[in-house]
Amino acid sequence: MRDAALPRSNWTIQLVVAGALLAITAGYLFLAFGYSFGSWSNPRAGFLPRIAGVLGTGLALINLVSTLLRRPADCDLGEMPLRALGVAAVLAAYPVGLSFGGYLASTAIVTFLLVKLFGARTWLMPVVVAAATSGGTYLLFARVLELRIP
Amino acid sequence: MESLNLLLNGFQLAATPGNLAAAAIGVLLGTLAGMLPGLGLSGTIALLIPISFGLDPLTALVLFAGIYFGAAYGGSTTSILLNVPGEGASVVTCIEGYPMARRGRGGAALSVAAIGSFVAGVLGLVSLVTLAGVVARAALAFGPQEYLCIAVLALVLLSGITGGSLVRSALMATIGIMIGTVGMDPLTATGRFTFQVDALYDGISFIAVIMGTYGLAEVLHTASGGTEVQRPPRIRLRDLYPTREEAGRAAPAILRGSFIGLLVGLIPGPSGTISSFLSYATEKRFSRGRSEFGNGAIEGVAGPESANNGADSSTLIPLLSLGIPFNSGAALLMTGFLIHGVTPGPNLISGHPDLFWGLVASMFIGNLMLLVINLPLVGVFASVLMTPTAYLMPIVSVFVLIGAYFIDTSFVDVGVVVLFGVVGYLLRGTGYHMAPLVIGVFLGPLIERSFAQSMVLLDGDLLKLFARPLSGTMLGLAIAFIILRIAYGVLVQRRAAATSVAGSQT
Repeated sequence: MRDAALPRSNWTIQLVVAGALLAITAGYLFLAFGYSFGSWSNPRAGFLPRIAGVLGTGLALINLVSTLLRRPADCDLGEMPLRALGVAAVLAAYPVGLSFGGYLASTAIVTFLLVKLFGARTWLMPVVVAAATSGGTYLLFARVLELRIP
Repeated sequence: MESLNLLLNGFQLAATPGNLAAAAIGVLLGTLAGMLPGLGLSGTIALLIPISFGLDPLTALVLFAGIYFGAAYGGSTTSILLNVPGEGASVVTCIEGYPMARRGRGGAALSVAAIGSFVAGVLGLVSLVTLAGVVARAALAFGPQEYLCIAVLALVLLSGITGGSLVRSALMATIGIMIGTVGMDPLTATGRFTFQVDALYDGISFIAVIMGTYGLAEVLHTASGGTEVQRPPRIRLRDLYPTREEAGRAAPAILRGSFIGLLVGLIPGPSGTISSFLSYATEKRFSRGRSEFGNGAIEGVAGPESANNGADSSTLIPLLSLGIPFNSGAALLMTGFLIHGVTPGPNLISGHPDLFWGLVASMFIGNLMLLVINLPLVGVFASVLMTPTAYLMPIVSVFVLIGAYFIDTSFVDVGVVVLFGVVGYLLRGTGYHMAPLVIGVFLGPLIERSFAQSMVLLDGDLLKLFARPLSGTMLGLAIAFIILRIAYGVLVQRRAAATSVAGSQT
């Protein structure tokens, strides 16, 4: 039985993660069957994927059942998980910005947005930090280390 | 004697102005980044990988050696001054270090931690010099069966002693192996799990996975409010001197801790954490000041810090001689090597002796610099802890993503870092350990290649793996460990159930 002391939201997150892991491993196993196993003495492309897929799916299933039946470890996603996901979304948009806006502009904009997301209240300091980060990393990578920046 | 000559040659190579500067920069940056609460050794290396791009291989390796030892030391500073352990290995340091800081002996705790780390680091490197060549020569005779069984044993031990649920750790290791199978099959060159994305034919970059699960995941954790930053106490230079009594009590603890660390570092798993806990338990039982434990006993800082650093040094023996990382910190260090085209393993010592011995010499130099440069500057370093995370973390994020782009000048790697950053944040937050996953990603291709080759050689008969002495022993140990771990779990559950029944009856 689920431990009554565990907050329901935490248990739900634990279940969602355990379910997602099962879905991923099962999906992997399904795809692994698309590759030839060969034989034990003549392994082919699907040899390890099928073994790992069966093992992973079995473990993910046990994990899900165990999460359902026993008290799972408490969640530590912080007080503001949505802010973390917001930061991830800005970072995910960064490569797109680099392709269209160039290095200096997109790095400055992304840094500014991140500083604000992290809770900076003023406007001047975030602008200064964004400009300094963009310019500083450009100097380090493009000029000092002579790397080809995007 | 031959090793000594080669080491002296290594010192000549490492002691160029450029390499010395790289060692100093590595130690300083490693300490600074290692002090950021929550980042830890692995996160620090992941964060600082990009600054090595564009350097020649030896200079880059020297830089990484400095970062490796600097980061290990930086973690102890936050534990002592703020009671914030950067990672598992620093938890024990908080127990005695923070009470010392609260009664004004934080400087002494920091200097004892630094001296202990230096002594253990040097002893570890002496072991590396003595043993790495021997192990590497033996490893040259290994066949695929031996490599398969060493990799399997490493994964089994790592999953079993990482902490938390065995099923979850084993699941993470298996998912790591699955990620390692993405891309071209080593036997038939068939593209697998690529979804017609050209970039995935080369596989998912191990480096990008590490930068995501350790570097970016920590940034996201901080963004969610998971790590609070406090104001550290002021440390002056004169505060760093331990009293005669403190020095006398710390010295034997340093030696005991170093010895424990050196031994535990040779076992796959989170050796830093295990050795520091073992050392703490030893000191609590045997040291002269055991009555002070819990209130700031200096042995409780000296022993665990030495053990932690000793383990970090001796874990380099399997890394450099076999090419197999036994924990996530070593895997990250190996990442740095691979970026610069240097593949650790038996052929590194014989094929690239200049690089190997230059690296070992630079580690000695890095350890010395840690003591000479970092200790007097500890007050300055502590002020870094007051930098608002609102400014620090965005810079760290941008640095990680730009570094990911430079891995292969590809945006796909940047996407992989972000994806694994989110995955790492969610999984760590829900009680899954990342070390087995990361080591699984790394060992997956080795396991696949050696497993397939072994099966061809053994005509598909798995039992023949037991016929070879080394592979048989490794596999036997792995099986025995799994059985023992399951039996232990069952025993703990039965005891808990018995206690619960007894509690309800009273």
